[in-house]
Amino acid sequence: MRTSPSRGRSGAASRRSWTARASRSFSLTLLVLLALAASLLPATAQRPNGAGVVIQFEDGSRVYAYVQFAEESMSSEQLLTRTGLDLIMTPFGGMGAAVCSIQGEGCPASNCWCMSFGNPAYFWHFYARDGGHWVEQLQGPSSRRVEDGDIDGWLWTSGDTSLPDVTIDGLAALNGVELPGGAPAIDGTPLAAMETMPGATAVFVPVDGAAASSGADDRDGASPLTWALFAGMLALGLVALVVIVTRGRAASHGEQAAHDD
Amino acid sequence: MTSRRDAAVAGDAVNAAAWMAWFAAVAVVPLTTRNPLYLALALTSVLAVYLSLPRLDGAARAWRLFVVVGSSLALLSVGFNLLTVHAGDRPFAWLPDRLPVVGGPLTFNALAYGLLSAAAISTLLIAAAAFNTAVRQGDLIRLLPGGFASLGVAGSIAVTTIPQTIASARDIYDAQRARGKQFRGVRDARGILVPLLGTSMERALTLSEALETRGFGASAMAAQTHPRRRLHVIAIPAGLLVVALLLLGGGRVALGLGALAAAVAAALALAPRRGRRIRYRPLVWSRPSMVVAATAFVSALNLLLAQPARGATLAYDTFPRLDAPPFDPFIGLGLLLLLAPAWWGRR
Repeated sequence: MRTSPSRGRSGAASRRSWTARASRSFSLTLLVLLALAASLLPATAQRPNGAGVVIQFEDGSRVYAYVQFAEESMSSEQLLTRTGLDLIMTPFGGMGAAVCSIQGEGCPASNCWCMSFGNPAYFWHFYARDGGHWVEQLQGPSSRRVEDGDIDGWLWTSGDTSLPDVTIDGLAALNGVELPGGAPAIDGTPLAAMETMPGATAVFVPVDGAAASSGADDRDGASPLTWALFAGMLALGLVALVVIVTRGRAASHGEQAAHDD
Repeated sequence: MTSRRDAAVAGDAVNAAAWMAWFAAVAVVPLTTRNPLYLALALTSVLAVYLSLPRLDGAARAWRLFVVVGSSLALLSVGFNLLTVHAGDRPFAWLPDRLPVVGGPLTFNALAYGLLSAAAISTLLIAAAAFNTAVRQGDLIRLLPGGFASLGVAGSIAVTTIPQTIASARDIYDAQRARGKQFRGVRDARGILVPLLGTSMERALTLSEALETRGFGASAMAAQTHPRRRLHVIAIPAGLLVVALLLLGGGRVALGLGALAAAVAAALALAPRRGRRIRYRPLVWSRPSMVVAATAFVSALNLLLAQPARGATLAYDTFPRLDAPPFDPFIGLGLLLLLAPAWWGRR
């Protein structure tokens, strides 16, 4: 039995139209799904961006600040300014602004590096949280851009790098800002909320606060037992020293006596 | 001294490689910590080792002078630190503010900082003196790979310049005293300085003639016929070095140190072998050598891994607060292992 050419053409045409319809339906469904997904996106983007600032003073007390902002990004200088803390900054050549003083600790603008000329040299060190570590920044706060989730650190130090381990979720939780899936990473309750600019929150944690003691600044010293162990080891070293000196003198006396004979 | 070197040949003394491991282990201490307890143990161990070595020949006497002068300068820094640094929470006296630089509170913090710095410097100086007293420069050059032998010779000449000059000055002083010359003031120093200059120039000429006689540098001239072949010898280590510096500059310390190690390894591997070296005295790994090298290795590893493995605190700062330092007994025991050459070093 032979199939007529016209019938064969109409069968092929119907298959093509079915394929076209199916592909149109698939495209339409895909578009609807994309539109649905796109409609969901603004819901998550409604949460403003947020970045953190950790400031540690000479006595070990700290300020944990969380700043919300609508822009995509901002400079670290803007971030620090928006915390509303008491700041003194001064232009630093082509490198932007230099931070001289935070909350009264530091130097005046007229002599921004006043404590850095001696040994030990103190000034405000600028850090950024990168991959779970604090990395000291060679650039100034005007040159660094912060985005949602970034954390800056400021430390008044002569070289000690004891900024605490924090996460943006922990900082937000400490400041009473709810992040989706955020969990507090800083133990303890802050004692004093600070006056800040709109959109920013900051808490002050004194040296003896629980949050401060959770940091890396461990200066407990040695216990009596370990002091006794140290004394024993030092005594052992000194005995060795005395024995060696005594043996050396005896040997040199022996050599001298042999030479005289 | 001669008997010790004969003993080294006989193979029952600590060899140069083991001494180098010991010196590296000692150097790790002041480079990683300023904890006074660890520095005290390291200083005691190093001093015991240094005093256990015979110090009668000229080079040893010169290194002794080096230790005394260096330690005195380090102690001077204590006073300088105390007078110029006015930070800290433990003031004990005040100088009038009208005095420039030194005016202000004097603090125990600054005193402690100066003492710790002096202890760290003295530890390194005494360790260097012990190392140089115990090991001949020739033995060190033999440890270098073939391609670096010329560099080793140049380095050893540089390192021995100051001790040799001190030894010459001492000999001249003894000779002048034997002639009845009295040294009373600065003008009398001419009697030492002029002959010292003469002997130094004479020694430099003798050295250069000796080096030329032995064909020093001749192989480098011969190798210049194929400069293109040697491009990678410089390019690969230099490239790795640049990568290491970039990583270290970017704060990636672990990766940076890895790249630095790779650069050194590449330089060692690619260095051209100029001529065959014959060893008349092969490196002998006697039991004392192995004990000293092993204890040095354990001590350094114990210190370097204390923080990552056990969470021990190595960092200690006297500013802004002067607190009692922490003490980890395992680190203390590791530092006492540095005493090992005191028992085996002088045999």
